[in-house]
Amino acid sequence: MVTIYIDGKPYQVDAGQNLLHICLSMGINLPYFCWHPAMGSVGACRQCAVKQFRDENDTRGRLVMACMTPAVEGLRISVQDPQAVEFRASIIEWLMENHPHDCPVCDEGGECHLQDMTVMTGHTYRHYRWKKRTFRNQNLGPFINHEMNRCIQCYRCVRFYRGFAGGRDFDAFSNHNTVYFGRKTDGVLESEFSGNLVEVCPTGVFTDKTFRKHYTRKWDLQTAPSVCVNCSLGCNTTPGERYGQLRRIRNRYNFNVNGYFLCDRGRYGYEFVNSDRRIRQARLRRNREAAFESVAPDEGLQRIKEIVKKSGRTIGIGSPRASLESNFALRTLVGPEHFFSGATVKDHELVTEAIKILRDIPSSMASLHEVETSDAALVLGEDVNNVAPMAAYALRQSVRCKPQAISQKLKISDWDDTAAREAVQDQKGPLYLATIADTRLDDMATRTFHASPQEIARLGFAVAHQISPTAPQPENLDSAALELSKMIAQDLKDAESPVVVSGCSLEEKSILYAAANVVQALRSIGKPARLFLTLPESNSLGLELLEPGSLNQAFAIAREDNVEAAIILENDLYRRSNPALLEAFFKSIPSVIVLDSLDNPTAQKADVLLPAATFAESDGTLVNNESRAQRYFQVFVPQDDIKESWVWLRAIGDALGQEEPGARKTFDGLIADMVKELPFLAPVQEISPASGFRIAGAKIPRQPHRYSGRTSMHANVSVHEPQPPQDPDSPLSFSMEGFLAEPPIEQPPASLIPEFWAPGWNSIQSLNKFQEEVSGPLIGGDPGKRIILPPDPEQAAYFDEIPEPFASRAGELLLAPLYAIYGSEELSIHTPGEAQLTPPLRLEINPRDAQQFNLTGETVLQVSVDSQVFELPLHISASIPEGTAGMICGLPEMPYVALPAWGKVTPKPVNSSTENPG
Amino acid sequence: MNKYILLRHRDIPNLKDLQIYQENGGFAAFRKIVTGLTPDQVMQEVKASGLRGRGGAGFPTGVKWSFLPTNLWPHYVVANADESEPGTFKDREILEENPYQFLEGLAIASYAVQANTSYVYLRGEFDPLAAGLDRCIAAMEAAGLLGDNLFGTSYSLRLHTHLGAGAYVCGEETALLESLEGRRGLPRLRPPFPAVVGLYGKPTVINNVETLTNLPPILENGATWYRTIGTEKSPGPKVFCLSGRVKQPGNYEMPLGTTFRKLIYEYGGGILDDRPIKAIMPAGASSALIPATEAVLDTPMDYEAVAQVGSPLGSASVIILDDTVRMDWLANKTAHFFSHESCGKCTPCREGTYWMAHLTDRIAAGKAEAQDVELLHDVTSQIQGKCFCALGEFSIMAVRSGIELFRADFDARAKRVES
Amino acid sequence: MIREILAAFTGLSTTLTSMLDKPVTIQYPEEKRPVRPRFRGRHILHRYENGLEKCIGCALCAAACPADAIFVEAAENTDAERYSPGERYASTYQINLLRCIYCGYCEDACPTEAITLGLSYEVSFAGRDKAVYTKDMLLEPAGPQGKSTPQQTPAGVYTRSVPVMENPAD
Repeated sequence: MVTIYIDGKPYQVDAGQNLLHICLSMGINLPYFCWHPAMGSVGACRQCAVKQFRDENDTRGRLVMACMTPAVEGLRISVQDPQAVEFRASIIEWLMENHPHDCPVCDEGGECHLQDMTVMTGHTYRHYRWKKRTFRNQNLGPFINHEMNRCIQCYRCVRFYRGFAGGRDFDAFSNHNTVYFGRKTDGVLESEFSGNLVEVCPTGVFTDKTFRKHYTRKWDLQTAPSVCVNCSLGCNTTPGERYGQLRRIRNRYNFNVNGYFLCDRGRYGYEFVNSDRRIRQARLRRNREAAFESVAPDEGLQRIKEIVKKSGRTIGIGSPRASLESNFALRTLVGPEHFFSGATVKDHELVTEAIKILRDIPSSMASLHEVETSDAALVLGEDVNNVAPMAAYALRQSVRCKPQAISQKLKISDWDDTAAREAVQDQKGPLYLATIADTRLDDMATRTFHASPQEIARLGFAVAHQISPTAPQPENLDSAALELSKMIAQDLKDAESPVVVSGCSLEEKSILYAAANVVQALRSIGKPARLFLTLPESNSLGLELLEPGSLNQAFAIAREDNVEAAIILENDLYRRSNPALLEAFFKSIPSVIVLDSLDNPTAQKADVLLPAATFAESDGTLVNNESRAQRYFQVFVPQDDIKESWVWLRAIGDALGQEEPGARKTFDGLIADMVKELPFLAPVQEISPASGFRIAGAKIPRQPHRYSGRTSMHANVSVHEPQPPQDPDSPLSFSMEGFLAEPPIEQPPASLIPEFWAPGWNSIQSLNKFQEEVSGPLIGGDPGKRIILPPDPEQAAYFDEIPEPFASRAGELLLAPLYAIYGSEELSIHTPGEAQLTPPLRLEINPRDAQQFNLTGETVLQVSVDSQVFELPLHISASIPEGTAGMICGLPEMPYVALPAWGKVTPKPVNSSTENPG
Repeated sequence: MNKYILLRHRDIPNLKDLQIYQENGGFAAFRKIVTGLTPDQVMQEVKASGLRGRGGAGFPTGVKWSFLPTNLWPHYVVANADESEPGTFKDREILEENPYQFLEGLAIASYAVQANTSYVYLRGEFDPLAAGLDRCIAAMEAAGLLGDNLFGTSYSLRLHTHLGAGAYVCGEETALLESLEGRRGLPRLRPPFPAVVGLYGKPTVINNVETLTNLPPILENGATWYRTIGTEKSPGPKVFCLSGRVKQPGNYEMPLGTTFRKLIYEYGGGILDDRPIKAIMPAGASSALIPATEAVLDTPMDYEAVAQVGSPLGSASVIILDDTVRMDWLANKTAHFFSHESCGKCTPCREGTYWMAHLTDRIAAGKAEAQDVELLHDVTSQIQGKCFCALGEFSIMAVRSGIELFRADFDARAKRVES
Repeated sequence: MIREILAAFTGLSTTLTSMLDKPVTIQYPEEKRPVRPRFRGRHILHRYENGLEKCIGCALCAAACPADAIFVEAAENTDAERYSPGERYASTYQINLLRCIYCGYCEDACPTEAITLGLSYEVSFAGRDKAVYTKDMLLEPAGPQGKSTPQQTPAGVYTRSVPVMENPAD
């Protein structure tokens, strides 16, 4: 710590930190453009100029750029110095030479950093009198709108896209005042993090194209804190609603999880909420052949009551994409012994195993932030870019950690981005990727290893053995893998904080064991190694924590035990199980009750269908891959008869007279019941204040204080301004009235911030007012709490279930699952842009296998696996290991098949039909 | 005794032939130091000679070399042959006619800092010169003057040429390094200095072509001999590029400390049509104007004395302006040059030069009002001292000094406001 | 006596003279009183000469409205179905005239001069629900040179919501 003087006032600050960072952390407003809290300084825009004085007798001083000046003991600067103020205003005047005055039609208007900074500097009068320069815009695909005329050349976009997100197809072109940011030619931006350009850009060059289709001013959006449901990482988001439609998703900062960024699947995968396929009314049918008819909710409930009353037994099938509360409500309704996991049988086993590993081994799970700051990483099996994209982003940053030693030795501060990169050049920290095939992270990898799931697991076991000889050793490891395992072991041992990334996507239990062994081995030699497991879905961990039975057990009970009814919660079972098994299951159950938000094949099997709310219309808790329980809040009240699943289930319970009147009437009550029954879930109660929480006696409004049209927007319903909907479940209100945050003086707890806004800071950059320190944790602690806490550090036993070496079979290939960022996930594909980027169905085969099977170029293949036959076009890919074949799973037109599995592959007979299955 | 030290080809025909160069003592110095002197001794000799960088800043060359940390390897030497300053054409003559002396100098510098790979960065328009240099380098390799284990020692050296893409800013050493590494030529912030984090993140010396061409004579004849030429603080010969309104423009090699008068009236043959001289730009387009008073004309041209009369000596590209030159026209020319050559990185230079170009257009076209001249002056003062690199600083020199010293020229073009 | 009679007439003179004055009351609604040119009456949404709407759906009027009386929903223009120049138009435009306080802030906020407060002061309704003026009630009819919206327009012509700025001539 050193003492510096800002405008004569002493401040205790970190030595060597840049002055802009310090000023913003101290609450002093200083305008800036090219600096970004996550990307450091480059000193290009010259906007953050302050006056620096030699000593207390120096009155002249000289202008320096705050972002490039490190704090040293006794430093004297002035932010308010007239010359500095004048210069900062003139920078804005220069930027405004060419910036169009199209704020009224600009999507950024009202949340524009350039607008804020213009007001902050006080520039008002334009002296420049000539025509503005103009550019041609590009079509950058379905997510990003490009309007180059608004560009102020801060270089943030290109720095983020190339330097941080690793994209190659976007750059800065030309020079002087015609610098152009874009692609060489029009086309879809390739990076899965391209959506962050919208938030990185300080003005309206890059704007959200999906938002544009139903544009609303920022101040007209009703927002609430939320959590992304499109993968297991649980990135924090801020969805915005207007007039009953979810309009967009923006990043919500969480130091431990996603920081400043989101992936495109999460950012744009919200359109299913507005889908035409939403189930909006309760539906009934007399028998399985009859058509559905929409009914009033009460009639639906009455019918359920009749069904469940007369039946001896009702089973419940939960869902890895429904909230913890909804799953628990179902578990209570049907009883724990009749509650089954809605995940695939394999996922159920794997996640249960993952929970066991997390509970047993003395290592805490790494948060995303810890992955980002680890200095060596081993990825076992996961194609993170497609399964959990933000983990790929974190790994990309992690390779920069170890080489930081080089720049630190040269006394270059970490925030001095260009200099640090220059000193480091292309040197990267160790990152080893053991995957089935190529990934988009390969450019960062020290070495890649492409092999079958078994071989990946064996490599992991070998690494563990190399680190600690007490760990079991795989036999007959080939020499290349052995060499690689030695190399990996050495790098992990040399690291300060190594991380092992693994997960469930290859559906191979032994990979999890191998990853656990590596972490244990490292811990046994005193390395604080961490484990990062990606899981299948947003609440996979939460569901399995409730200890449900497996789906196959549910099928068996239905077959044998005279089950009368099944309640299926937010789950399309046709994505989870073999269609033949499901047909038999539905046939064996007289009454099927389905709660879901989107119409799907399972909903088509229902006898009673209840419209369930999506994440944007409900309160709930999701448990992410590191067991962090995170609360999401209702953004808006759904129209029609849509209700949260736990509300439906509670109503069913009431209708059955199961409940004492008054019990579990509220969300808080439900959570209290849950914690009472399952005490290890206690953190769920602590992650956010209960619904009775008030600040100065007031609720926290979801609508900004500038919200417009309140007295006319509902005029078509009633000209009497209707009372805003009441929210008994949370301390947030559906109105403009309530506690007006004035950060950093007073703001709601971090878990209850509907939108980051501070006076004078309308853009996302207002975050600095909510953080303890710029790019540090939020004031009062980041939202979310871990449920599984690391046990005492004692050595648990190593896993020794080492699989046999992979042996190829004659006439058959091992079909391994591949994933697509857009397409493999169930919900995000309802966004037209994501559907457009979904890859086609295909079977990827190694060229040598193709040769062996006499397969060439354009062939369509017949693939027989698990008593199903598919027709898939052949795609020859050199990175697929011999003896295996890759199949992108989860695509909407593909029926479920449990992978990995051995399949027979033959060219399709010429005369058979050409249609694809499904 | 030959007259020239740097422009020796003017004394010796066909000096660009390796054999002729060697017959005239070429590469003796390089052979001598590689076989007989330690790198430190070479550095000491150059320090003792007082040689100062000829690229513009005039920083002592030996001192610059000594900044390279000895615990970070490899080291690189880059010859800056991105001669883009309007009014500068000295390096071109050296590269075209006396290339081996320059390459020998580069080799000597490389040995002094123990660099095994060195680069010649040429401006894009020097394409034919690069081809010529490549032939010279090939000839040197064939003659055993470059390559592994030179002269039987353990020292190895390779030279490479690299062409820029024609951007003025790449003459700025950090932008040059960026360009050499294959990226857009944008300047880097200092610190860290290229001496520590330079080419490919390694310690790097960047010297001007003319600076390097001075090295063979210094190492051959010794620092004491070198000190007999020029002034005490600015020793050695210098190639002055004389252009503008003079009868005989061209390169003139003279000791530093020669007066303007001698350069203009003796070598340059006086002003065209014998008109009165109005002003001097001693460092090309990026220098401030110096009103050509008698006292100025008698100023010796060395780094200190010229700076005292209003502008750095820079690369000694002396542009002569007579009374037919309107300063608003001149300001317009330089503003256009710099607005076109701005790299687009920092705001004051990118937008400010563009604005200056527009304003000077308006003034030169006689459409301006008096307040436009004031505005122009305001714009220059907001640019001054706040840019990322020196290019932004240079861009205002002529405009600002033009307004301050020759205000009448500007006001004469401004529209009278009817009262 | 005479003085007293005279006094009575003096008193009556004002009355008698004003009997001959033109009456100040008018026969509303047959007759209507003119208002000042800058009178702030009921809102009008304007069109360009070619019939395209000036409103671009930017919702700044709604933001400026102190009574929250304006509600705007924007949608995207296409050349096949164009309502206004540029990217967006107002697909919904409502003013709740019961809430409106006729302050004119909407006029001030409008970047395209699309909304003005007109001269009409006859703002009365038979029911509260009639007080919500929708876009078709507020929008002026297309002029003689113009067509109504939506129009089919040639591609690449109406790309800007605001007119192009030219270099000054001097």
